[in-house]
Amino acid sequence: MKKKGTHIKSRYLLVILTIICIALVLLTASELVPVTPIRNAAGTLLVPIQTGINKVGDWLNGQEIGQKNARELAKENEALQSKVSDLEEENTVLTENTKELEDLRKLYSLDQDYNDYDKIAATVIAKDSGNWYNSFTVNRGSEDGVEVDMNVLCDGGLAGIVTEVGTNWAKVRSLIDDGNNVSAMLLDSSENCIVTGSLSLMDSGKLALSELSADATVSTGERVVTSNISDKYLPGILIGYVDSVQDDSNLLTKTGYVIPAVDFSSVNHVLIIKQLKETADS
Amino acid sequence: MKKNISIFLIILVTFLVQTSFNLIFPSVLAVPNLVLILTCCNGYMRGKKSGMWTGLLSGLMLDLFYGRILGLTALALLYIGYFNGFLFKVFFDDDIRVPLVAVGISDLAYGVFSYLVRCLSGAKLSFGSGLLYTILPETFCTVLCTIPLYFLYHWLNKKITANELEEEQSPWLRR
Repeated sequence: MKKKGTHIKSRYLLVILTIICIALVLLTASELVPVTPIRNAAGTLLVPIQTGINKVGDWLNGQEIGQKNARELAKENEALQSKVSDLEEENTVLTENTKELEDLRKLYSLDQDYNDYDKIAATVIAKDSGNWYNSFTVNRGSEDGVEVDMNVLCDGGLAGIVTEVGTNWAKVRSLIDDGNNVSAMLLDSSENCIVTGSLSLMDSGKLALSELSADATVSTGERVVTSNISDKYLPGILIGYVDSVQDDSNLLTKTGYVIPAVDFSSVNHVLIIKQLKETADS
Repeated sequence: MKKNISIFLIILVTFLVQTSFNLIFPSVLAVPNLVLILTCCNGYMRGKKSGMWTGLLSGLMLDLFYGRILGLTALALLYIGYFNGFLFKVFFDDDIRVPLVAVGISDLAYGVFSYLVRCLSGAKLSFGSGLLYTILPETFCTVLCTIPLYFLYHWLNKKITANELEEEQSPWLRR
């Protein structure tokens, strides 16, 4: 290789770059330098490109479904048709029940179901690169009114919470992330408990349930929703269903597992509730 | 100049694919560390400096985009690039065994580093389950992905070095 110009030995370059990196770490960790504007700029630049890539991904997955053989689809269609008629029947009954439900809700002073909240639809454009974190980025940001701590829904269940907001993107920490704690309650018995995500449970797609009173009667499949006492999550959002519960060795509490309502392996379209818990009551 | 732009474009595309890997292929065992593969390959094919710059740039982009402490991933990838640069001496055209082993070891080291960072940031996680559920699957997928990617990067590198001979070199990227 020909050599021209100033020559820096790679060893020295390593030292220089290491110092730069460590300085960056120290500066950002101690919050001496605000990084949010830089991050925002980077996000704003990358979001359009990622939206494009996401479209490619959607298309690829569409192809995959197209390749399912026709017989399978016909069978599925048949099953769905019978389900439709079942649902139609059920729907009639449910419509009748709605009125009754409204009255009962008033009695329970739970008149603000989360269906009434102002929501905004968003598309997932990136997922965390590593396997250590479980968060994703959506294509809505502060210009659409998204704020930190807003709850994110998917398939009618709680998917996560907004942790960071840029102009046209927002980062959502998903419910199954290792660092996630949600104060929850069992719908039937109104017993309070804590639902946590865990890295070791991530693969099985379950959440851990803890701090449940030993007196509580729990049945498998019971619905778990966010509790009224949670400070970040709006009350009454479906988290999942009880999988199994066992007594702790102290005989005061129970722990168990919850199967989330959301299929976290295929979160693509989400709804962000534009209502923060603190302002929900006022 | 043209060479640097090409390398930067390769880094950018790898980074973009990395961030949306899960969306393109939703049902994989673990997300392979494509950025790390690129860093290793550049170190192996182009030498220490190129490996270092690749690691630093892609690490900074990951840090910026994922809102973690700026510089940590960059630091880890910088060293991975540097150490893989030692392999430049044994670089021999399309021999894939060396990069496979190098990527495997690098990803294990990167996994342990990520685990330590997670512990420092206050996560309760035993090393055993971290290794079993995160580090090992990731390493497996990463090594698997190295096979096609190495040939791709090797082919791109050949194109780049063909132009390189005619052009003036940047003092920062000389081996």
